Amino acid sequence: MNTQTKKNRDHNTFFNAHTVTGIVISIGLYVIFLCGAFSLFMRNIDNWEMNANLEKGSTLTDYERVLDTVEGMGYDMHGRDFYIANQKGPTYIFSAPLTDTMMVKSSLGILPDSIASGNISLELDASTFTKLEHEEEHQHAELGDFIYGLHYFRPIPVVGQYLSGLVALFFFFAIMTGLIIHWKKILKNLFTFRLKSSLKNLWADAHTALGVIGLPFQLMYAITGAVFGLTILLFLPYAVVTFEMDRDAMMAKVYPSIALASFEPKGYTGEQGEINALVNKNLSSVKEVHWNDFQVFIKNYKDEEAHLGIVYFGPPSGESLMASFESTYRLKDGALLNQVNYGEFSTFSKSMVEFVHQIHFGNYGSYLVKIAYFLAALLTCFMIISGLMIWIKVREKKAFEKDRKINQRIGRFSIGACMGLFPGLALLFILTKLIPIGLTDRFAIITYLFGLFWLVYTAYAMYVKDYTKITKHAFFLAGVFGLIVPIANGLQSGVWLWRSIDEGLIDSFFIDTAWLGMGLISLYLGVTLKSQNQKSRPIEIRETKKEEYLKKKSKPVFEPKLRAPQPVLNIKSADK
Amino acid sequence: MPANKKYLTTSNWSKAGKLTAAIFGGFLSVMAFHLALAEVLDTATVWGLGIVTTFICWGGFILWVYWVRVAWKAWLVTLGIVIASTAIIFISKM
Repeated sequence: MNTQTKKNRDHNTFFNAHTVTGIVISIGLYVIFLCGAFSLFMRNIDNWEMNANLEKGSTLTDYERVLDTVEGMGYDMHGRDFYIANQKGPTYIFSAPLTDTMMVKSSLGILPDSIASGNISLELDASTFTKLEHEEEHQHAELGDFIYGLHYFRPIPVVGQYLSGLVALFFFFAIMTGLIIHWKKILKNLFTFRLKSSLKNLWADAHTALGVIGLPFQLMYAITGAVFGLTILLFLPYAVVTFEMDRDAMMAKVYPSIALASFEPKGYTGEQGEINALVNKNLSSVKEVHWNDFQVFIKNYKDEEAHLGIVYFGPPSGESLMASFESTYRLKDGALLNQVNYGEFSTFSKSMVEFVHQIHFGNYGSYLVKIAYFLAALLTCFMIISGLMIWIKVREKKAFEKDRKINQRIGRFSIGACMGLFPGLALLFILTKLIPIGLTDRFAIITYLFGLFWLVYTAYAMYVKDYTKITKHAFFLAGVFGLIVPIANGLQSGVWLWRSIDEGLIDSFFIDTAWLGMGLISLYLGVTLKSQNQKSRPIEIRETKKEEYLKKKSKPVFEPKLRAPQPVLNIKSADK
Repeated sequence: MPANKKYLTTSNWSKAGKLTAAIFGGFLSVMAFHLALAEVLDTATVWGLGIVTTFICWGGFILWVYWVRVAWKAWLVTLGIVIASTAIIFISKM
């Protein structure tokens, strides 16, 4: 085989691999990027949903009182590991069931499998410390979390997250094959944008140019996305082979953290320890702390070897790629055993995890970084759509006559599913404001309606068949819904756009304004988008040129003659 | 514009073989390699770097499979890497 044939063969293989990978992952990748773009602001969305500003308002909870309250409910507390967080208002406390060895050591005569030794997962009201019932807990602040979940296919049971990881892996593959295909023309194509050429060329130019511009961003997300989706593959093999099923040893080595560590209990003391004082002392030494991201871990409660861990996971608007802040105290004497300050390098492997986390969530900079991420994600969405459009336009040619039906169906389904998601998300925002709070299964109804809309829009796309119409109508709907979002928020809560900033509800203002802007742009696109038929365009141009030419040549002589046949033509068509 | 069919394989067996070799063979060989490295070098460092390199190497392996375009060759290489890595792990654990 000569080199030219081999080159051709390689080019075509990678081209085919790129096409097939692209069409298979397109919808999934689009969902990942669009929902991901929104979930960059999930905290703001949650604040918008509740019309609250938690970062300013909330204070630290009284940890000792929380623990006493839980003990008062009849749980056996000795030797338990607790996790306490005051997120989104109420205080959340969790503890896994006591193990058998722990119960023997506590020697308090607790029966295994009883409520006293069982699982603790409670939400306590921030001010009254009374237990919150399930309906109360979950009537608020679920929208941001839902969109974030949709971003990694959480609604798909069991395999959803792994699927998203695989999509990310194949996105990496698609980026690489795309690079190989376009390597030689990479510079030339970056400056090529043939607006006046055929529609297929327009899509192809958009796909390659935007692909090269977005390359660093997309490469980063392909890799970090795979890390998050397929985390299990990073832990399980090492746990089995390297650490021989010793989970604690592995964690101590690769991700040393009080949150995951466990201590051997020595004996019951009954002393609670100065938890509140230690937490307050610790926090006063740290600047810029956001209370609701603060998590407290208590290990071996009321034991000789009781420890207090203070962990701060990922700041909402940080300034560093190293996002950990962690201190460990021994409760017996209040000694500080270990401290890793915010922005400090802990261990290499732990810092790698933080680094990946920070660049994936865009947490390392100000909101400008997140907005840049958002726009780059939208650009990637456009790249996915343009890739789909190339696939579709190429397959409208005669050479693909045989598979025309199935190709068209795939094309319509993909474009419909992709385009339907954006108005669907807008609808989701409206629904969270329109469905009354306190309704049973409120959020389930909301997500069901959202899914129904998405499904119906996809079916509609299969029915309409025209890609311009699918896109146009999606933008129109998104525009209308987007403009309703701030109105729905105002009607439901009275926090109108012009009042929110005065009341200090910056997130409410931010999300409302963002939807107003996105709604206006979408509406504009939805109204002005015109059908551009690939075949008719060049002919139109030729016709007008011919007319101009004729007009210029002999205006007075030809004009009446040109008009003369018109009545005849009209009669003919009327006869029909 | 689309890939020229005369250069592409038509056999479904070949397609499936390549895909499975790319996904599973790729994962097995990349993971085995990393695990062997984790035994020989500093475990935490290899793990930390492996967060990123695992997926880059996996993607690279998929590319390589489509470049050699013969599934059994990919499986042969996978087998070789896995056996070599297992041997290294076994020896260093002794």
